[in-house]
Amino acid sequence: MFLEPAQLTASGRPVLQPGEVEVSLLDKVEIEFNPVGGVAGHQSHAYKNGYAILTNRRVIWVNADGAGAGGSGGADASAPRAAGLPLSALAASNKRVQYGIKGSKVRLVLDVYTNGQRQPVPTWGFHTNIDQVSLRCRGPAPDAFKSLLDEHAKQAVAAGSSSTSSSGAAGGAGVGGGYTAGPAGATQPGAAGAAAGSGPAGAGANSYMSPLTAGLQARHPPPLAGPGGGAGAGQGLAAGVSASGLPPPPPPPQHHLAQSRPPPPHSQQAAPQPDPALLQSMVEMGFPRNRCARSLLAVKNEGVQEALDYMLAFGDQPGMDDPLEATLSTTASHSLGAAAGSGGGGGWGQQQQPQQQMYGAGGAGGGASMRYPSVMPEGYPPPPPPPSQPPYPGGGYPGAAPLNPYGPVPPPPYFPSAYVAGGVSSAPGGSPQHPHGAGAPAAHLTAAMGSLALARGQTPHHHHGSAPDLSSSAAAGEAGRPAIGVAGIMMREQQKTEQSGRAVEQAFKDLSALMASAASMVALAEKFRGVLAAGAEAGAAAGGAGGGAGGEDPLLLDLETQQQLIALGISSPVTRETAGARYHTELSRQLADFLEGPLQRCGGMVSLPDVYCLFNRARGTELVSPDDLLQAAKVFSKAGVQGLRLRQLSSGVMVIQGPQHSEERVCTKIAELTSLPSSASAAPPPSQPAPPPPLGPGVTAGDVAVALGGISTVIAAEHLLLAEARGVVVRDDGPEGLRFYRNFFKQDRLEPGSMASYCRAAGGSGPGAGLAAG
Amino acid sequence: MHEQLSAFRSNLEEFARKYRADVRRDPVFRAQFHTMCANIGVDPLASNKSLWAAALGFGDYYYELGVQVVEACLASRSLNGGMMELPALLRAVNRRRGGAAEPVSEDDVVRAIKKLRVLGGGFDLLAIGGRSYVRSVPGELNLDKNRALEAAQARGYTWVAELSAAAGWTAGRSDETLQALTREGLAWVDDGAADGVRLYWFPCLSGAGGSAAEEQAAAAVGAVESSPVPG
Repeated sequence: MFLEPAQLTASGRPVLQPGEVEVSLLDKVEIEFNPVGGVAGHQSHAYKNGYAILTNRRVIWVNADGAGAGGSGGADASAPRAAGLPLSALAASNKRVQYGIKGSKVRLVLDVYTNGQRQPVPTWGFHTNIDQVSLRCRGPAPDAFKSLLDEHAKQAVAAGSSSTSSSGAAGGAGVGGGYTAGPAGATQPGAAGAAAGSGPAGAGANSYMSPLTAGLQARHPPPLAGPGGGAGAGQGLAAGVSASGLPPPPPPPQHHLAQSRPPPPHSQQAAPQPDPALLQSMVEMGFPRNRCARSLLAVKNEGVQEALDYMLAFGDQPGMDDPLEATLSTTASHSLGAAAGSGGGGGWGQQQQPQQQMYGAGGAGGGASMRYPSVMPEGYPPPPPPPSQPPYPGGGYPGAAPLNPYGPVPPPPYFPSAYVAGGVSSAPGGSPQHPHGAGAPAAHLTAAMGSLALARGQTPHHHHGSAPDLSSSAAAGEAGRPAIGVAGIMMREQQKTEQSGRAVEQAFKDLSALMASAASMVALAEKFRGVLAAGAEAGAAAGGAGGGAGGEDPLLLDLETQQQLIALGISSPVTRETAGARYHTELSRQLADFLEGPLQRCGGMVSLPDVYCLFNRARGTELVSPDDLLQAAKVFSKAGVQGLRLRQLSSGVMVIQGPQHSEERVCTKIAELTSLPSSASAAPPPSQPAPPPPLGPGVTAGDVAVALGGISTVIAAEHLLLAEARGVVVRDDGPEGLRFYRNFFKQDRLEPGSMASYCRAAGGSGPGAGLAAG
Repeated sequence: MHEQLSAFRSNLEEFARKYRADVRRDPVFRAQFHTMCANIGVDPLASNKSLWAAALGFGDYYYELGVQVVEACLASRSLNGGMMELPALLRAVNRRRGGAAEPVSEDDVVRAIKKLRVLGGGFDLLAIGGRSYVRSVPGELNLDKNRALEAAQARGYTWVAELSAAAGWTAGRSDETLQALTREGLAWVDDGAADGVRLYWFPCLSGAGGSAAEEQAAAAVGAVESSPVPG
């Protein structure tokens, strides 16, 4: 089974996606595959010697063997640096303990959904196998880790599934294509699921797409309305198939299609009433009247037997006993709402439709894509009650949407609306183009479906019948707003401001409200930051240097620093909860990653109190105490951090210095500064012995400070002393102060005996004079 | 728009103070909360002192205050070179904390600075002439001297007034820098100027990076002037 390689930062911490946060860490974990698996290119039976990090999206295994890519020179494929497994592909996790003589072996066995190529796929996608991978825990017990894992896996799956259901458009496109892929019943639901799953899961980039789907999408624009495809999906799934391939609503019951009976006339749609004769006979059997009426509507008055089956299946749904008349009048508006909702779902989203109506149509798409093939085991999440019982015509209808566990459940009465919506949208492409947006996606939808079986017998009059209502409701929705011109823009801006004001009031009512609307608040806050920035600039320009004229504090962190802090903000700080036994190691790695920016700005040296302030600011409320910071800084080398070092200067000041201040670099640089220029003296006349090479430039602390890029003279002096101790330079303590020259003793290979002649030959140049005399 | 901004800000401060513990529990929400605070400029660390913290001196309060103190020094470093008077620091910290939290006293600030001692000697309180200063930049990391050297490069010497004008510093700061350079041996004092102003000469600047030709010239001068001094 294949895992994805996970990226690591320079110091060995995992690179997190936006919105991903670390939750826990388990030390001393090995991954064991059955039989072989892992990251492509590093296939092996097991990856040893690592630790596992749980985030809210993935489980990441990190190799603890340091940063070397080659690892231990082993001949076999060495383990990669890090591997990741998405939580949404998890079916189950079990803890297994194996007792033996040498002690017990604890394993956390994960069941993962995989596809044909043995790659993990999300739960709502199409999978062919369930593979197992086990984490052998040699360190602490994995119980807490497992419970957190289960919790976050559930959330990840729920989040992924709900996004699937709400993005009816993508689902519709994918599902529609999936159905053309083939009529085989067994694979169709899977294909539907796969295409639907791949749509939202890939955020628009379909990772799995059959050639037919691709062709279909190429021919027709992707934002198809949900209900068409969804309804078709519901249909296909239910019966394992219609030979007509893509059967958007209104679908006749499956078994009827198989008998090649023509689709029932849609004249019934114009007057959705239960057949009184059938209704009477059902009531005489002793069933509640409203329930019978709804069941008859659901089966479109096919017959008593079908209605009874439907009632038995769905009679317990809430709302089944509501009187039908109340909904009949609203059915029309529901249908319009659904159609408009489908328009919204198709990406035109101009209208604010109530959520239910959206789901009436989109729910169908969602319901379809939520439909799991019956091979789905009881794992994450519990599958919906199987809708695909062939005798139930109700199951064949998009109204099987009530079974959607992931979206709001529209009660059965809504399904006629979807049905009707399907009727509206599936009208032949020759329908007049409506100026309102909802008409357009309907046209798209019909164009898409036009080539396939469907639209026979569609009653243009029905379409026309509903169209004016559609446009009128649409117009009514926007009554009283000038939609065009500058006035329109200004009014929209004002509305937006009012909306955000109300949102702010609402959100801060209490903590849970804030948590629910956190994402929108973040967006609002970023907008405000732009306002603040503009205000600060204006203030600075108008108010002169540093004055508080702009209304903002000159002593607040200046804008640049603030922006940098925002950019450097650590969204997933290492705490004792998330890192457990490896707290100091992970903390020092996070510190090293964080310090790259500040070190560059400060010339390679930052004092520890400054680090304390910047690091804590980036972490937000998760403070790290000064002692923990000191400890983390001390274990840089042990944690595998390259280049950073904690250094104590002679006055007791502690700094963290970057790689450009390492001893080797410093000495090299100083040697460069004091070295002779390459164009040496002219060739000496052959009769005389070669004159000694000149002394070369002398450097002081000031020169070194400038050359090493913005360090202070005190540090430069310390560096020079360091270089002198290493024998790179020699000092000259003269009347001009302390200067340093290249170590000509070593380089010119002077002997004590030849010293005097050397100095005389050097012509008594400044330093040489002292030597000659002394 | 601006009323909304201030409403947002005050609400956020209130929340940061009341719901600290809850915010910390959910990591995803915590990240979003911090982004909100960072964008608006609200300090999420502004909590109030608990009774125990005040009496026994532990708890997160002083660590948070330490962060805020260092931040105030960082922000003003470009203006005052790392030395800040304690009352000014107090005002800056109180402003940063926002309106919802209680104001801090000098004693709190002193305690917070003391807790930072474990991080090395760079950050401490100095008492100069009866006033307390907080020095946030240790001598080793002070780049003022480099600036002075730059300013003196044109002529090879400088004086306090000129350095203040060139670098935009106060007279005290320039004086301190030049004296420090003298102490290090990089500068010489010259009191013999015509108008009595003390000049500071930088021999390292005038002879820096001498080429061979320059050495020869110096040698010629040296050969004439110097007489071998025994010992």
